[in-house]
Formats: sequence, structure tokens, C-alpha cells
Amino acid sequence: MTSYYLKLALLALRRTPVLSSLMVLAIALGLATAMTAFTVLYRMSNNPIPHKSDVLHAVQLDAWSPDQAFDRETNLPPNQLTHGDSRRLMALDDGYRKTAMWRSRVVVVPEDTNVRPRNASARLVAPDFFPMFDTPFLHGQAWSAEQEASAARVTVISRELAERVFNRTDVVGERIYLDNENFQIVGVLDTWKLTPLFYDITNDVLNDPEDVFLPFSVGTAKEMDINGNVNCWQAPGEGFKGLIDSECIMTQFWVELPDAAARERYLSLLDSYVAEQRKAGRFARPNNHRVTAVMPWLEQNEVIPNDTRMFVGIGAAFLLVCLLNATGLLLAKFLRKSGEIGLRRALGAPKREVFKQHLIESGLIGIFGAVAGLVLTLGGLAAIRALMPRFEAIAQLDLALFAALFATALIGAIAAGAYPAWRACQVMPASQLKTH
Amino acid sequence: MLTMKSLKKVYRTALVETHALRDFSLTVKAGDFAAVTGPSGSGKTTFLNIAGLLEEHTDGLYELDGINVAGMNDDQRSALRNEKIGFIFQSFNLIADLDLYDNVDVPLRYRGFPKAERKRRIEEALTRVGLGSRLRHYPAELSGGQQQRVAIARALAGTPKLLLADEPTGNLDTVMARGVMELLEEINGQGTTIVMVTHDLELARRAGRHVHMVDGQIVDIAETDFSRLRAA
Repeated sequence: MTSYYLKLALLALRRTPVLSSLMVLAIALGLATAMTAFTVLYRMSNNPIPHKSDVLHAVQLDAWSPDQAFDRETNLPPNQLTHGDSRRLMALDDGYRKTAMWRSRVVVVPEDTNVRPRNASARLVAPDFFPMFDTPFLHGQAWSAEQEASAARVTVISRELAERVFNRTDVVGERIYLDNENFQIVGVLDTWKLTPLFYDITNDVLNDPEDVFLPFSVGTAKEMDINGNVNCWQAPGEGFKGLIDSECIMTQFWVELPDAAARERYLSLLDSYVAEQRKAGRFARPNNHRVTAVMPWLEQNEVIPNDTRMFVGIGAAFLLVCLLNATGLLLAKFLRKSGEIGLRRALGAPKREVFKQHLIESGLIGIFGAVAGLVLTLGGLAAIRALMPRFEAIAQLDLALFAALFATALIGAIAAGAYPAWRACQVMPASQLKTH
Repeated sequence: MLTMKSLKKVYRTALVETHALRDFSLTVKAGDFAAVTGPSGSGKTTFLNIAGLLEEHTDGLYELDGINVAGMNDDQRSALRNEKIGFIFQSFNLIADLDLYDNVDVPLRYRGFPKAERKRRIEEALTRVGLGSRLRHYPAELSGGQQQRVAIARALAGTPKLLLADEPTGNLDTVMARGVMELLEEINGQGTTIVMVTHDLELARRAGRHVHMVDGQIVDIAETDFSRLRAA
């Protein structure tokens, strides 16, 4: 009977094209709005590095003002470290992969004088950065610990930058002119993305990874700009030297702790570090240092903006309104054909068959609505990408999410059709046959 | 075929209690052609709805083909209705979007016949009413008389034992009405029991039994000697 009911449903849709189109459109619009919002939220709350999110930890120390907490509401420690703390933690011989970092900007001057110099995003990191964050090397490798220690002028660049400057990617050993100085390229990274870009939440988490990676020590030696938040509770000294030796927080610090035991060991190491610093007159606040894995880190820092959550709430509410609207339209449609329903009942259709027939009709409308919703969603995401380029990586349709939402739309449409279908099967045949 | 004993049907609302059938007793034997007449509000339609299992009676006994229908659930009543009863309505009640073939197919679908069996029955039924060449026509393309013939074909396709006709010629002119009546007589002659509700006394007199109702009760039953009529 299912194929028979499908045939009847198609006939019914053709019989009332305007009403049917309105229902399909209602479901499609509701679904597209919800799906667009859910897609953005889903991508934003995505685990950016699933296989390592439990072992990578952000390090937080609380060397903030003795008079007030960094965050008076939550009492959380600062989300960055002072340059000095980063340098000292990097110098500890603890055996763990770790990197301090900050974001900067460099001017890239191509060898071809016909090509204009241009800015590129840069990040100052330790060589452990690359294995820690699983950066995909297309050619070459990270610089060595010795090169880091000696502030060697070496760099790892992105594939895009290599192609832009050299028109090829196999450029290991080549020299590139960055900020008025020659750097030797030791590695080229293939295109990669971390969404959200969790290792630096003081910058836009929708940013792409940087084009240029330089040794942390080089950034310090060259006094490179800090393209991120610098927060101070007391005025820093003069110049770059004064800033990096101040209590201003400006660097991110990550450590790779493979298990709970390592985590405990590292925490006790931080205990010792803080105790030692106290002797030097720092860390006047009670102990409040910690290490936080990736997902709790994203949550703690509320990486998903409130307006995204609000957008999802509005999307869900709009979908509900659209489904309720579809319910009303279906009810009107089904009750309008009470005569036919009465006739079918008289000719031997039990209530459950009438219910099934109309549920299939609702389901068909749901499928059409879901398909139209997919098209509108693709349009909606394309519009977001066009209007807000920073959402490029986020506003991409996720097939698993779409499948889930498609099923939701279908279930929603069937649920929306259940009441009208139930009302349809309650039609008293005797009362309809005289008037049909 | 149809036995009703002391049947009652009461419609109740918060304020009013209406006795549509009171102490209604009627037996229609297999092969009978019974006509039920009466003024408006006499209970003819209520009788037909109860006989067709479209409504439940309030009290009394109703046996259809020897089966007591009291206490049956919706599935059982629907299945029994589908198998034993064919309906013919005053306003034909064809589904406008379906062609003749699919209209006649409706009751057969709920019966669960296989496709080939349904096809055979549909073609036979439509041929029997003279519309075998118009299987893919739509109701709107037919005259009123032809539409009623389609409704009769739909009623006959499931080979019911009982045909219930509610004013089957009420919407037809006299020529078409005569044609439909002759078709019903022919069907009855082939053994199908027919109960027909009508206002038309002329038609009622052509039936083997003429039951007259007033205020939910039978007030007169007349038998017709067909051998004499046919000879005349």
C-alpha cells in the first residue's frame, strides 16, 4: 500500500500546487535557517584536533595584580603568560614538548623586484610547535633546538606563501627576505586548518594558521610586534625590552602531556616554579595556576560567541514556527478532502490506513521541504561566506550534520502531519457521503 | 443476508436526545431487492448507515450475512464492509483526480487483492456497466448516468453480497434513471442482494419488497409479485 499512498500523495500535491508549495517552502525556510545556524555552531564547537585534544594543554599562571583577580567573576587566571614566564618555562628541562608563542606580522619581499612586497601573518614558536599541532610538512622540517637557542634566521612557510613568492613549493634551502633580513627556509607546510584556531584565542579563532613561522628566540631578538592582546596590571618599562620583562601578559604557552601522570608531574613542576618566583617577589596571589586541555580551554574561553548561540536559538524557534505553520496548512488541506476520506472509509479503509495515507503525504512534503531546505542552506552558507569572509572555514555544509538535520526535518514534517492525519482518520464517513 | 431485530439508534447531545430508529426489525434475504421509502427524517439514511456499518446502533441485534456486528472494532467493521457491502450514492462519490480504472480500484486496494486480480475485476466491472472502453477517462468526462454506472462498477468489483444504494437515481434525469434502475435489476437478477433507499415511489414499486418508514419505524412492507409484473 505504501507505493499506492505515495502515488496518491503526489496526486494530492499536484491537485493543490499553491498550498503544497507553501508547505514545502515553510519547511524549507525553517530548515535552512536552522541548518545554517547549526552548521556555524557545530563548526565553532568542533574539536579542532580530535586525536590530540586530550594531551595538548594550555598553561595558565596567575601573576596578576595582588589587589584584584584577572577575572573577578570567575577568578580564572590570565589566559596568556608574561614573556618572561614563557621564556623561563621554555628553559625548564622537563622532557615535555612545549611551545611559547605569539602572533606577529612580517613584510615579505620577493626576489623578483616586479612583485610588490606584502604583509604576511607570522607566529613565533618553538620547534616543538610543529609536532605538537601536527602541522603537515610538504617539504623539509622544523628548525632544530640549536637553531632555536641561537636565534638562527630560519623559517617554515606555508605552501600558499611559497607559491606566491617562488611559484613552486619545493623551496627548502631557499632564502626569503622577511622584515629586511634574509631567512633560510627549512620547511614548507601543506595547506592546513584548525577550526577554531584554538592555540591563540586572543586573536580571531576563525583565522587561518599563519603564513610564516619563526623561532621564538628570533622574535625576541628582532623585537617583533605583538599582534594580539597585551594586558597589563602595572605599567611596563620602556620599549620592547621593558615590555617583555614586565608583568604584562602577551604570549600563549602550550605543553603536550601524554597522560594523567605527566599532567600531575607538570602541575607540581609549576608549583615549584611559582614558589621560586614568589621568593623573587612575584605571584602575590594565591596559587591559581593550571593546565587545560583543548576542549575545556575552548569552553572556558567562550570561543563560541553568544550571538552564534542566539542565532541557533532563533533558527530552532523559526523551524518550530515553520513546522507549526505546516501543521496548520496540512490540517486545512486534509480536512478539505473530508468527503474523499469519508468515501474511502465507506469503501473499506480502516482508520489506520487513512492515517498511514496522510502520514505518507506529510512525509513526502517533508522530503521535498528537506531537499529544498538543503538548496536554501547551501545558498545561505554561500551568502555568509560572501558577506563575512572570516566565516569561510565555518560556513561549510557538514554532511553528517546535514543528514541529522534532514532526518530531523523529515521527523518534524511527519510529526507536523501526525495531528492532521489523525484528524483526517476521525472523519465520520456517514456524515460526508451525502455532501461529497 | 441482513437481519435487524429491535434495533435502536439514539443520537445524544447535551440538550437533545433524538431517536432515529425505534424498535426497528427487518430481514432481507439473500437475492432480495428491497426499497426503503419514507419522508425526510424518517430514519432511512440512519438505517442505511447502520446496515453499511458506517455507524453503530445503540441497541438491538444486527447480523450481516449471519455475523453479529455488535462489539466489532474499526478494523473488523472496515474489513467486513469492504468484503460484503457495495455502496452506491446519490451524488456518485467518484474521486475526481482518479480515472475510472483507479476509482474502481479503491475498494479492491483495501481488500489486498494482487495487481492482476484487481485488473481483471476492474475491467470486468466496467465492461459490465458498459464502460469497458473508457478505463482511463476521468469522471468529469462522463455524463451523470455514466458516472453512476462507474459507481455501480466500483460497488460490484469486490463481488459484494449486499448492495446498498442511497437514492441512486436522485441526481439523474428520467432516461438515465431508468437505465440505472434497469442495471440494478439486472445485477439483482444475477443474485446480488440490493437495499435501496429512495423517495421515488415509482422506483420503489419496481423492487421486490417495499419498506415504508415513518419516525424511525417500519409502518408498511409490501411484497411485489414479479412474475405477474414481468408477464404484464
